[in-house]
Amino acid sequence: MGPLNFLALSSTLYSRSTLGRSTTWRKKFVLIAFFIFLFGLLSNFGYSQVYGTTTNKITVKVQTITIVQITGSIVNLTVSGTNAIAGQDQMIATDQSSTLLWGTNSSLKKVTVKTNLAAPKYTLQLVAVSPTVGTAASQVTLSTAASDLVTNIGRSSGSCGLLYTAIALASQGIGTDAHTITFTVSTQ
Amino acid sequence: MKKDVYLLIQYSKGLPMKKTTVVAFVLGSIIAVQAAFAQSTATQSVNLTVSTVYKISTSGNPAALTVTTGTAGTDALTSVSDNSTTYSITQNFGNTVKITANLDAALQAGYTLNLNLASSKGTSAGTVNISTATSGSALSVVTGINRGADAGQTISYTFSALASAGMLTSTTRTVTLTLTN
Amino acid sequence: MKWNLKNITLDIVIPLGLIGILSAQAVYSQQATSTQVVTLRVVELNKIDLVGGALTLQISNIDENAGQPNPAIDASTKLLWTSNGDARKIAVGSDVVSPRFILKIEAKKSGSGNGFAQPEVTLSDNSPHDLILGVQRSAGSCNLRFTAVATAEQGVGSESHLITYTITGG
Repeated sequence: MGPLNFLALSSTLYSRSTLGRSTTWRKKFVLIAFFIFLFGLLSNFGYSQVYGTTTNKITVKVQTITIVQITGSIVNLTVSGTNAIAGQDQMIATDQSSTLLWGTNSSLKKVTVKTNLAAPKYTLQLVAVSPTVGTAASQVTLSTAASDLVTNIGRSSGSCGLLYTAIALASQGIGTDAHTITFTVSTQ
Repeated sequence: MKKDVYLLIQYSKGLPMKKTTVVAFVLGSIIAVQAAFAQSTATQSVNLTVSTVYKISTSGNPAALTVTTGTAGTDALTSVSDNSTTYSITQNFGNTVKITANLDAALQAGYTLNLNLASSKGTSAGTVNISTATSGSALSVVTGINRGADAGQTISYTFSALASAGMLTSTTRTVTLTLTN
Repeated sequence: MKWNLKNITLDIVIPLGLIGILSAQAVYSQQATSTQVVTLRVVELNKIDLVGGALTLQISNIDENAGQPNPAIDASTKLLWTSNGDARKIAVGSDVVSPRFILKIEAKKSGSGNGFAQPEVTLSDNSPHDLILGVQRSAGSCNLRFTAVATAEQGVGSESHLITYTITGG
């Protein structure tokens, strides 16, 4: 029976009922009927009629995610007279304008660093400064072989400053070295 | 990842339109996410330039040079010397660098100031009379200095005077050592 | 500006050339300096010395015509001096207050150095006597001629003098 038919029947019953003749009882009957109607209506929405079912299997996979980037793309180190001390062959210039950022969801990771120059004229060293996660390795002299820069960075996002130190000997004369430094997040 | 995507595409072919749309969205998201998190390396350019460097320093001023005695019958009074100061240099320019010396003002006739700079990186000119060497006529005291550094080399001053020049009240001269090519 | 050869040369090429030359000069005339302050002084000094040691003037023969002993003379001593002062003199004096015999001294200027030799001086007492005047800023030398005189009446004897030479103001 649909809700409209129920209302029609309720109305007929009410009009023919000896109980419905007094005003108070009319009101009560209307109220009861209304709630019965309402219940029926809600039942239609809350408990929709089911005509059939099927299932779908969804598999969620999270793979190893690693990202590393640098703020400050080009570093220019110049060794000049301001870096020299009379009587000392060694001259040093430093730069700490770059920041290394990384993120990984895998444990046992580290950041390594290397240069593309196989035979640089001068010495270039690098050390991570104040890593927010992990342990900074000792200052490294950059070579074509990867060296540890920051270790124990598993499951984290972090950053550190990059302190470059250029060392030139006066006896080596003047010149330039152009490095491409590669930072890699790899398995520790 | 490729197998998962294939299966997902095969699965979506049998679905009604709405569910196909959802699968396509999920598929696209997975591919996009895979592309975004594939960077495990980053590179940076570092240019190291060494420019020409000339550095020279001295360890301070020598003690006062005072002539106090002589020999009867001899005009040249007994000279005095000071070896208490040193100089240090660093240069990366080349192997023809030299050191010159000059005074801010020439000495009067009858007074002589000699200078001798030791060197292990170049050739010392020995004892050089700089009494009349002013800024426009500086004299070489060390030549042929090789690239590198030379530290703590002795500077020797010798001051002499003639009796005929008379007395000299305490006076100063500024000696300028110049490292140049 | 009109774009002709003249304007391009004057307004562009020449200034660029000058900039290039000046830049090259700046690169290749690099140098560094360090300075020291040297203090020089020459104090007044006066040096005097003798060449020749003690000597003896022996009066031992007589002038027969004069009837008196001949003087004894010696000029072997040389006096040297150096002074960078102005207006100096050399004085000479004996330590004998009242000599018995006469002793004279005279500077015979020789060699370099300024100064004016005074006439022969008789050392009759122990006061200083001017020997050479006008000594200044020089080194000089002179020979010293000693003359000892004795009379027959003074008899025989011996007398020692300590002669002192002094550079003093004057």
